Amino acid sequence: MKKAAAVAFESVSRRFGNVLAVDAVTFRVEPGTLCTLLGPSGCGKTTTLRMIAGLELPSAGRILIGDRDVSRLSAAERDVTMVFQSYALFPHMNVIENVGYGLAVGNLSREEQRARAEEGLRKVGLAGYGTRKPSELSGGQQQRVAVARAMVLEPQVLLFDEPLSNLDAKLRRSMRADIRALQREHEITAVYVTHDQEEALAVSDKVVVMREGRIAQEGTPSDLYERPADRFVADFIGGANLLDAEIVAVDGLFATARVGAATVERVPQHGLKPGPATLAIRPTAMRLSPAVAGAAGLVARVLGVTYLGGHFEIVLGSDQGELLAIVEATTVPPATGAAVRIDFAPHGMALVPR
Amino acid sequence: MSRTARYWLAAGWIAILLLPWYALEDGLFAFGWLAQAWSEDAAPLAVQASRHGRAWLWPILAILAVPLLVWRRPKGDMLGTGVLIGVGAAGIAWMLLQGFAIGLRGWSWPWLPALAGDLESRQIGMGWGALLAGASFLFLFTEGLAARGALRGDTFILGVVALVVATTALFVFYPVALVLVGGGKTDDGYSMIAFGERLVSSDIWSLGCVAGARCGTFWKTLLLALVVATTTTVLGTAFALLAARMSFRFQRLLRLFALLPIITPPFVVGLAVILLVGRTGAVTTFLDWAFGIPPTRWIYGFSGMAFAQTLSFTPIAFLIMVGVVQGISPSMEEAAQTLRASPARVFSTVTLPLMRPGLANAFLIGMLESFADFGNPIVLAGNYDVLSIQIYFALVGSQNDPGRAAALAIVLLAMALAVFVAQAAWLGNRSYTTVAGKGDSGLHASLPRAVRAGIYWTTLPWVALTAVIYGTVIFGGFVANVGRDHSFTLGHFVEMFGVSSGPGGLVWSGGAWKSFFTTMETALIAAPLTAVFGLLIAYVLVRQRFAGKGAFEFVTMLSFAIPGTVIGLSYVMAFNTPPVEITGTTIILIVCFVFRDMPVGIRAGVAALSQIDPSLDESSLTLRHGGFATLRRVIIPLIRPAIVAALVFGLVRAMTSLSAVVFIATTRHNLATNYIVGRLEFADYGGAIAYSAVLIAVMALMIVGIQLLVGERRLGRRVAAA
Repeated sequence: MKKAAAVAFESVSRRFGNVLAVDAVTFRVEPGTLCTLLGPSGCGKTTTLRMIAGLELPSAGRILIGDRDVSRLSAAERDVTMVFQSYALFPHMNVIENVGYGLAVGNLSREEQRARAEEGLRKVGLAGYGTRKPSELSGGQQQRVAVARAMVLEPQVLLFDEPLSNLDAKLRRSMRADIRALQREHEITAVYVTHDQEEALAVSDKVVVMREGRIAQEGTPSDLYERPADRFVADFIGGANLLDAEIVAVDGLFATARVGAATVERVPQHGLKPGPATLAIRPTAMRLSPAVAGAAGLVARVLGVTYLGGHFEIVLGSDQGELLAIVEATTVPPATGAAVRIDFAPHGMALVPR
Repeated sequence: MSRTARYWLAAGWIAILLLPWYALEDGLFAFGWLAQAWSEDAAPLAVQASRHGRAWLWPILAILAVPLLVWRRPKGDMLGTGVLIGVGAAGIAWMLLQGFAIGLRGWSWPWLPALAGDLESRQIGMGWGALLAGASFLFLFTEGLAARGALRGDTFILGVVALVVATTALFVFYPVALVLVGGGKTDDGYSMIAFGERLVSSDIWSLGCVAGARCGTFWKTLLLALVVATTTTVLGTAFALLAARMSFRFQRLLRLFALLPIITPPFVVGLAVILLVGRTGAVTTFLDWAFGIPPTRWIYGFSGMAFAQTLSFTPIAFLIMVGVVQGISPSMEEAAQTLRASPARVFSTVTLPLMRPGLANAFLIGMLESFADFGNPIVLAGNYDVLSIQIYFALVGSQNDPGRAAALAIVLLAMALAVFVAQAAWLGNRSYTTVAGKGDSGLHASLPRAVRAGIYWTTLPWVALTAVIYGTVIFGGFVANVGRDHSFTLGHFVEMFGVSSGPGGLVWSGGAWKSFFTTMETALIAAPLTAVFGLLIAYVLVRQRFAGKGAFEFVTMLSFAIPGTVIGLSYVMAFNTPPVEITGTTIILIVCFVFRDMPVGIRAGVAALSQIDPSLDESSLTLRHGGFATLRRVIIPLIRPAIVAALVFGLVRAMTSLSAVVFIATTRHNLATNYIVGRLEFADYGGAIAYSAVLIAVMALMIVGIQLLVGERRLGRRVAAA
């Protein structure tokens, strides 16, 4: 889309009474890219999104869309549209009236409005559904209508507020691929809110992880997964076992660390110095073998084993607390109560500040 | 400056350069002034100030000139918005100050001449010019605030809030405040001593009846309210259980019976009670003839009023309780049953406790209704004084003591507000309905046998009694003189609504036509305004967040709690003199109806809007529709039932309102209810009944008409997932 514009937040805050929902947040979304705001509920991601839409105005700071300061403009005055979690289709209008709703403001002729709306419906694969009522459509179809309604205005920025959370798991997978394809094809600037880290990794050019009103970390999906900045991000994205570690040597972007009696080498890290740190290990990076008395390494006891089809989830008790390991179902899992030795696969580890 | 701000600035200049600044003799809708637009009566502000010596008007012109300096600044510019905010505030402040300081006889406050010298000129009430200039200042102010991002920058919503605050201040707070002050008014000024004496008067507070003497009005009013609240709550609950929980063959008939009293003018029930059991009433005469029981006047006083008020207000308790009873989730009762509770135990440990907040609500509303009732006491009170009619007699009767009226009004107001606050506190943070978005497919437990029997034994006689009462009313309209001469006649209707053909065409010869037309005119103007205002406020309350919202909500609901007699008295005190001089016009009647009945519109709107997913209007806002367009294209189509409810209630209340109207209706603009009370004072029961019957029929027709006109909303189902 030709009009796609950058979005920039310059130390933006939003206060509700005594609660600081968004606290001096600064970030930038490049034109034509999809940026995800990710975080647990109550982290301020939805408030941030609503401030881009103009449904909330910032208490402090500036919001720029393109080169224009929109901080004080109402929603109707901004060139931004939004796809809502509940779809928010108007129940008293049919599908084509819904899609053409925003086109009615402006100087398009009625025929042109109609043509644009039908073109929008065609793009989301719902040509011919125009005369139906929203209540006669399935959840996925309603979702497509909501996307079409937001897209036909060719906004500078398109916003998605947890758009897939009302769909079942299978539909969610195909819808998110469709949204990403549409966004890429039309080079839309999109901002996408979700609490599902897998969804965020799947659709984004850039992910902004938020926590308690602040940005915890921003970067590409692989940045966040492979080089988390702190314990929160390491745990929130992909889930990680967090172990107390001691960095013994730093070598550029990697470090050598000691975990209990074990030593791990070439672990990615972010500007840490030798000393105490936390080692984040993905459950899939844990390698288990029967413990051998007297040998060096990390030892734990098996507390429980759950069969999940493709893999086993194994809960371990160690002197570092409970740990989770995932092992392929092709191997024979250790028995509950057995002592195991833990080794680490070369990928799936990171060092973060304690 | 935004385009809207420019429009309002232009409107302000039109107001002060072209429109008559002061109120005109012939009212707002006469256009004779066009012929003499520069005369002292009809001149606009600029001419009043320059040619008629009203120099105190110059500052208004000066203030309105300031925004011209920032005309070209872009919207959102800090200086420009600051100027708008400052100009709006200063303009309104100066208009109020000069309006109150300079009145019909020059300076209004005695210390002003000493300070500023004597004044040659004087001024009367404000007119079109002042109205438009005031609106211009108000909306320049909100434009400035909106451009700075207040209320998400939505000019329209901010304008609505400002308009509601300004009008509520003018038409609720200002008059009520005058009543409070009026309690201390004496012939020559104000006196705290007079205020204190009136407030602690033994007429009001005496507890003498315990020792055989007379009790004060306060205690009598309170006792009546407690008794009526109890009986209406019990009966209303019984009807609600009958309607919602028992398979009763005549459900629709039952609903009609419960709702009929709502469209009945207030004194009709009292009148019917007199016709039945008064000294010459049918039952009394029969008892005298059959059993030799001598006729007495027992019906005039406490028992008669309690009886009539119970008849009048049971429907309201029913409406409250039916919502509560239906709101109790069946799964809770089913859960109790699976835990081995008998029907009696389910009822007493689950059903009844879940109804308890609803019962409290019905009880408190019953008390409020009893406090405010004027129609039944005026015909039935006898020697049992209650506050609402004492206020009336203190002002209009031979007493003519406005100070005493004000003191009584303060007491009544305090009682009503105490109940209102108690009700708000009790229900404030409590959700007493258990209806969730999820389907609840369970079945309600059947009621225990004793409860069922109790319900039948209270409700069925009551239905019979209501039937007899209304039968009597209809009967009375078609006989020559009810109780004495029972020969059939249409004379009452002819006398009231006769139409004959005279030389100039049709002649509305019936005595009731004039008041009937005024009633229709005011009701038809007031009802849509009530609905619009109520729903706008509901929209602001449900959908917007702003500082002071709780206070805003409380204030808008407050006028519901203020008894009509207090409102009527306060309007007489406030709007008889400049700057707002509207007594004796239809405008004051319309304003009174709108502000008294608005809370009902608000409640209907709040209930309807709470069911609509906020993301619907938010999505409209992001699709380039502003606040007003969103309201028009999304909200209004979705809340049609609430609009119908607000319109119907506005109409019915305007047509049946009496308590406030007795103070502000005049012979020139008389209203139906006031006219009927006049007939009753002449003991013209037939005429009063005939008129009431016509009113009831007209209201029923209009309700059906509104239903057809506005219609139902057409939805498949709600789309929004909760």
